[in-house]
Amino acid sequence: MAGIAFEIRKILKKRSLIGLSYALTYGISLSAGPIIISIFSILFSGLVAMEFTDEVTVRKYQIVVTYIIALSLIISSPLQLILTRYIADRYFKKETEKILANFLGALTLSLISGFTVGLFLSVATMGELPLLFKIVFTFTLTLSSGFWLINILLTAFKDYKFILLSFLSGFGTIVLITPVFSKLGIEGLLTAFFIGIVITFTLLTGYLFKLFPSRNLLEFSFLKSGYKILIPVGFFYNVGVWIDKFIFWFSPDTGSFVLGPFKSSIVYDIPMFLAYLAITPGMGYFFLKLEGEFALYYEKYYEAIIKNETLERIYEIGHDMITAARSIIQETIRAQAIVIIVLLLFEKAIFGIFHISFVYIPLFNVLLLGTSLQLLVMAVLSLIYYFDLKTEALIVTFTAAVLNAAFTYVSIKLGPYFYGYGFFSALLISLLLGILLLRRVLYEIHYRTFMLNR
Amino acid sequence: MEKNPDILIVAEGTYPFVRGGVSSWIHQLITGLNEFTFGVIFLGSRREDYGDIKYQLPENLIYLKAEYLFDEEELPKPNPIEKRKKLLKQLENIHSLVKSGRIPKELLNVKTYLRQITEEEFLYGRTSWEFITDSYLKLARDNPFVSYFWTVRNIHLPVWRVTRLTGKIPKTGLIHSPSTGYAGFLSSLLGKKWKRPFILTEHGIYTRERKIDILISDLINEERFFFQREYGEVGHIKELWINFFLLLGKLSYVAADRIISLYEDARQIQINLGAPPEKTEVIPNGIKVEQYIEAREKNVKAPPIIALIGRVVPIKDIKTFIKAMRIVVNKLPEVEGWIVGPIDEDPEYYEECRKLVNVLRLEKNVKFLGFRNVKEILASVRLTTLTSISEGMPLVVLESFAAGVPCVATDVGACHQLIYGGVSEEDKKLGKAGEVVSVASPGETAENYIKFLTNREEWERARNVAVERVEKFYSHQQFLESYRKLYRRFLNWPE
Repeated sequence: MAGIAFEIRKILKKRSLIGLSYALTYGISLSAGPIIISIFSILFSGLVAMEFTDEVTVRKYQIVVTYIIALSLIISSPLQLILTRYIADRYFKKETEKILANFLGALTLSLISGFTVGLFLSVATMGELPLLFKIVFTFTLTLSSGFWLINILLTAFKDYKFILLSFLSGFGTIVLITPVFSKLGIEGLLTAFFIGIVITFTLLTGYLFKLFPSRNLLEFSFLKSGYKILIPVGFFYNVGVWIDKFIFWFSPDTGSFVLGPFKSSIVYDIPMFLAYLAITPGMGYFFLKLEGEFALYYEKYYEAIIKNETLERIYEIGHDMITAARSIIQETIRAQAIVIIVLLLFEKAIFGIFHISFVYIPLFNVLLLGTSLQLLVMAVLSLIYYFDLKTEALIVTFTAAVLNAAFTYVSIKLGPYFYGYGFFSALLISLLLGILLLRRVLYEIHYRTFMLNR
Repeated sequence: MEKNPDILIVAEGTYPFVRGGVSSWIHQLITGLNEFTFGVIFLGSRREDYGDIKYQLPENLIYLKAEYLFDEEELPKPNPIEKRKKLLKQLENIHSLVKSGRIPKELLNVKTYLRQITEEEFLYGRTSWEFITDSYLKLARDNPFVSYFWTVRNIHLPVWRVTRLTGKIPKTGLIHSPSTGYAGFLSSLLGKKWKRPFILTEHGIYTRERKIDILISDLINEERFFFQREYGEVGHIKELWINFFLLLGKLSYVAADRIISLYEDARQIQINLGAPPEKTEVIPNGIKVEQYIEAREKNVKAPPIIALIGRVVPIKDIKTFIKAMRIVVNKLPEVEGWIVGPIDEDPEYYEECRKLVNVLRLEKNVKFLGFRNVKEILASVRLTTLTSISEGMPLVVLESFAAGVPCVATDVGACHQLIYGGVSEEDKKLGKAGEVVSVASPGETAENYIKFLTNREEWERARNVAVERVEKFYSHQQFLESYRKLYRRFLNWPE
């Protein structure tokens, strides 16, 4: 008869901590890392090439690099979040021997997809381009598709020094070899770029091998983890970021052919690029605050629960956490507002210094507001990831992708005065939606933490 | 299974996977009453806690199913559920009724758990969150909340597991549960659902046993805050468990059509715990007396040996026996005291007892024999004894009587009724089959040992009463006959 009573005592101990695991900060790496790296790569590749070759080749080269970045981000996007989340969990549960094999599993899938897309595009669309170009394009796209995965992992583990070193080595190599390779024209420049990425990629991956040795080298258990919903979240996020650019490139009103099938949009690309440049300080500010301040409140809250505090104490600490979440968004808005005001005041002077045509200023102003909103969407998404709200993340990213596509298309149809407003309004709506969803959850955070966790 | 069984027995943690008193009782009942067909539902904690079937299953046991209440099981998928004001009212209503000692009818209705207060609603509902936090803030605000929360969950979750079982069990003519607890709860639900009678037999008092379990358990995670509680105060979290088992007990008492205990005192306790007196009845266990006749013939000439048959554990208070032996040996140096039973259950206590024997210089008189064949022991002793601080209805007393050995026992459980008589007036008139003494009184106990060992006349009188009493009131035949009648009556079979 005693059997059952004993059992009750056992489960009491065991059950009390199940279901309370930190949703690690897996979302941060997704949003901030790629944007900064992309901007940097495009800018950097152009500046280096400029020294050794003519402006037309550089422009073509920059556009091909942009395509490679956009395509590889989208190709690897379904795996980015689910892999990071899976690995963060393994890390938290100290099952680090699973990390390497699953990373290599995801990497394999990503490389295969990148290669397939690259091969298809080369064969189907680049008929008149030289074979060397097709080969370099395909391999660069393939490698870049894997590159985002490793980059995401290392930012999640916060080993910033080594990451910096890896990037310096890779991009330093590009600087060193570009003088020689530029003689081969655009294919040469691309090859130099490829070699640079190979170096960075190899260093980072090697570091992972060293950090988490494992007997197993290939596993796909991350696909079976309960986070399948993160597959579309990652995908829609990256589609959402790039879809307006693709529409501007391929719309007959705004895009023009540059090289083979590659089109660009002179009206849209330059101000858009500058607008992204303008949000990097705000982005840095936000992630500094998130990691430095909000994370502490967040940890305190879950610590209070694990340490078995009274409910009143949990309420108090929860209140502090919610206040911190609200203030981090408000402060980011404030910081970005300052950037916007300064730019609006001095944009003519700045454009003048860099010899950029004033024609771009009106569109730049709209796009600046748009990218600022994108920064805020990223901020809200980061909080959403913090609280492990996968469904909410899907709703926001899906909305952003669909609206950005639809509104951008409409804005092009409406004519040049409306360019940029599609992007702007899509992000405004996504932001409001994100804030609304986040608010609803934070309002009953205790209920969710206790009742809806497994 | 061609036909549904006549009788369903709901066995919590016992038959047929665990050997023990209740299991053999069930086995005897099924084998002895072979005009009925039986089904057995075994309710266990986890599959891995139990071994193989320990009994040769009788032919009239035509249905057997094992269910495990604490097996890891996927909970339903977490999904938020909107707040329902009506449900909140219902929850408040049920809990306040239960607190005031009444049993809301809906608690015995399967539909309550499957339609109104569903498992999902309990686990994920905003209503249930509000109710849990409100109750916590009202009654337990100084307790660690996570412990409280999980206690509430752990206490309630088996309710839905049990409820789900009701859909899987073939309908029988009658339900018989040998305990309250989860088994009693399942039986209550089945009884109401099928509109069939439910008979409850309590061997121990389940509620009391669980209460002791909970109070002594350190594992019930009560991290207390500094200065939070007075010494000796029962924490709120332990109280939740105790109240839950009290409720389960009461539910069974309310739902049962017949509430059976093994002896009169147990019946009184049941009534105090909420059993309606008119449903209660005593049916003692029985014993196959004829198997002890051989021992009875042999022990007429037994040397002065006193046997304490029982496990060497604190609840049997072996130390009082040893101390009493010192007093006896002072007067009668040739007397021996045998302690017959496993010594490995509480090695520390056994060690203490052995030291006590040494200190009292009783090495020659007091012996630990370990586990032995009871019939052989009874064939060679003059007296048996129990110095326990708690007992139910001890089988060794009946065995001792059947072998014609008088017994000196403490006034616990059924001992008074067995030794002085209490089944009926006739039983009382038979006289004393030994003596009842106070708990932890070595002097009084020794006095009575000496009385029976030195006064042959007194010993023979008690011996005759013992044999007559066990034959008249505690025979296996009578035990089976009582249940046969009961079963026939509730199955509406002709008597």
